[in-house]
Amino acid sequence: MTQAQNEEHLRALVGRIFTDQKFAHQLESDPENALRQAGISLSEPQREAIQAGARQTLAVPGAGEAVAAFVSPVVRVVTQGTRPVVNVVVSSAVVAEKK
Amino acid sequence: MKVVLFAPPIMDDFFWGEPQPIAMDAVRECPPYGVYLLQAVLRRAGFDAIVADLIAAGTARIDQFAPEIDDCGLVGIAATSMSWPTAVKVIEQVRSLRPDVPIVLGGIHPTMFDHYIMNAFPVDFIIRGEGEIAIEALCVALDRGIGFEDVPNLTWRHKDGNICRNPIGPKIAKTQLADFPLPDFSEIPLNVYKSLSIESSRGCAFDCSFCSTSYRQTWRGMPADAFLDRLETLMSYTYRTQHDFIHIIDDEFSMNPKRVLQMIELFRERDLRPELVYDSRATDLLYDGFVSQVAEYTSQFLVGAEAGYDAGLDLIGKGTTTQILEDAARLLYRHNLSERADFSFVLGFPWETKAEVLKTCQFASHLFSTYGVRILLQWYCQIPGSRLWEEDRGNGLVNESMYNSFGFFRDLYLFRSGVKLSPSEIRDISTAVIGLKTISKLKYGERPMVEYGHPEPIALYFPQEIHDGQGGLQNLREVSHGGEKRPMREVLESRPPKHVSMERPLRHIGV
Repeated sequence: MTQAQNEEHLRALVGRIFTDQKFAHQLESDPENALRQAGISLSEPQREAIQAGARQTLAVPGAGEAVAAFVSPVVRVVTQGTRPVVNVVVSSAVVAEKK
Repeated sequence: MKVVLFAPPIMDDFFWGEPQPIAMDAVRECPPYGVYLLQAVLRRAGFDAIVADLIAAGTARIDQFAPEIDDCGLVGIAATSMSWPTAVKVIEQVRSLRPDVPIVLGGIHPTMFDHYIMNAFPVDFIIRGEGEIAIEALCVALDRGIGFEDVPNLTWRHKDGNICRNPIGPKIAKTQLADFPLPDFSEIPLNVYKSLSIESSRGCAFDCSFCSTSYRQTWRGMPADAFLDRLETLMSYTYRTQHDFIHIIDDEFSMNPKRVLQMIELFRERDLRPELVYDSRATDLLYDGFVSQVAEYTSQFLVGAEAGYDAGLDLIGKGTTTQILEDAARLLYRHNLSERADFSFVLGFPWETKAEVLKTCQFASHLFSTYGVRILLQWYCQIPGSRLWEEDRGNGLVNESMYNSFGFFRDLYLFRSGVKLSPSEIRDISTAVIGLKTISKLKYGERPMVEYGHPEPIALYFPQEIHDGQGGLQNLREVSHGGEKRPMREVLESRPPKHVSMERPLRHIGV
């Protein structure tokens, strides 16, 4: 499969997520299997990225690992304060990292 | 006279004995511009002004500033609604150290609720709106022992106990914005903040229904050359930051694209190469030549896209369409700027059903998968100051007293007073977005191209272990009427899922 075909395939899968609830559930509970069934053969880096995602936590000083698992969405998502409502929630600045 | 100005961080205390910074203050994005600006204003007027930067310190404790408070003549505390609970903690500590010292509050939250706060908290003054003129006038009045009647924008308590609200002074003109001294960032702690903050304009020409910023429907942009003078000076202190970024804190930096293009010309004339972080609008990005010119100076920027369907954009009053959003994303892609763009969407506006939320998710996903822009999907939450919040306040659903304690953003009542989807519908959305994040990893690896958080109130009070409609009365009926024979398949299907995803908070900690 060429890169362009690959990207087209991924776009089609993205389109399917919000219309096919069963597929979405499979992706959450068993992503590797769901992708295989959808015709995606994972490279090793892709497999590692997906597996790492399941382990991902954000280190928070003074907080244990279990806490960090909760805090990650809070830190990323709760509002910026100077900006309104929800728009706030993640500022570009919060996610901007030095290239 | 010595003045101590506090900058309290946004915090939460859910898991810790002591409150901890969260959101932008957890990553210490940039120094609090307003507080440092007021320090510079007061110093120019001859006052000994000190910034108690609790954001940099990462704490709500004021102990380290006790010696300064001990001999100061005024304590100032700035607060947004998000940092208001921390400000309340600071007020309590200051009062404990110095029951006699005058306390003045500023910022959007005290501006909105001056009457309530003056009656409910032990403070003496509130400056409503812009503080540059008022804080100096207040310090002069305190220093000379004269009355407060002439201090613009001031709410204060008369000797008879009544609350007085002085008239609001004229808004600072755009040409005057550059007349104030620059904040002194020469002493901010080294490598604590990611970037330095600077202002190039105030306000926004629009009045989106969910927006809580001050100065909506008015926009004042500093002249390009005046801004450049300030930027050039400020850039000599970027070495004190982690990333050398300059964060333009404007509500809408590109409201006047021509002005930004003038700035770019001046960057080139003066050989300046700032790395900018800012907020923009899709319509501005389509201005002829804007994207191609601004690209090389852009580190990261946020585009407030808000909704993925035109009826929703109309209801918000955003002044844009999905076609404009798509055209902007396409243009960014052509100029290799899309991966530095964050398109921010709001899920669960009060008028939305699951169908509308799905439309927004689908549109956002389309922009991500077709043009490679990062997408931020964020649930609506009730923050004071917006037209939507005010409507609910008028209907007796919310009010200002709900924002005094840490964690109001995870309050289930507040959340569900805004978002009308059921918990199971929200879980379905979360499942789909988690799937989207998984697919994004196939192309982008660990780079987070889809930012999303399952709503905390739903995670807290409707964990997946709770199966809708199971247990409760059904169990009582079961023990009352004796066991019914159920097929094994039905029993197995009724068990909670074994899978535990790290994307869903709280399921891992036994709460």
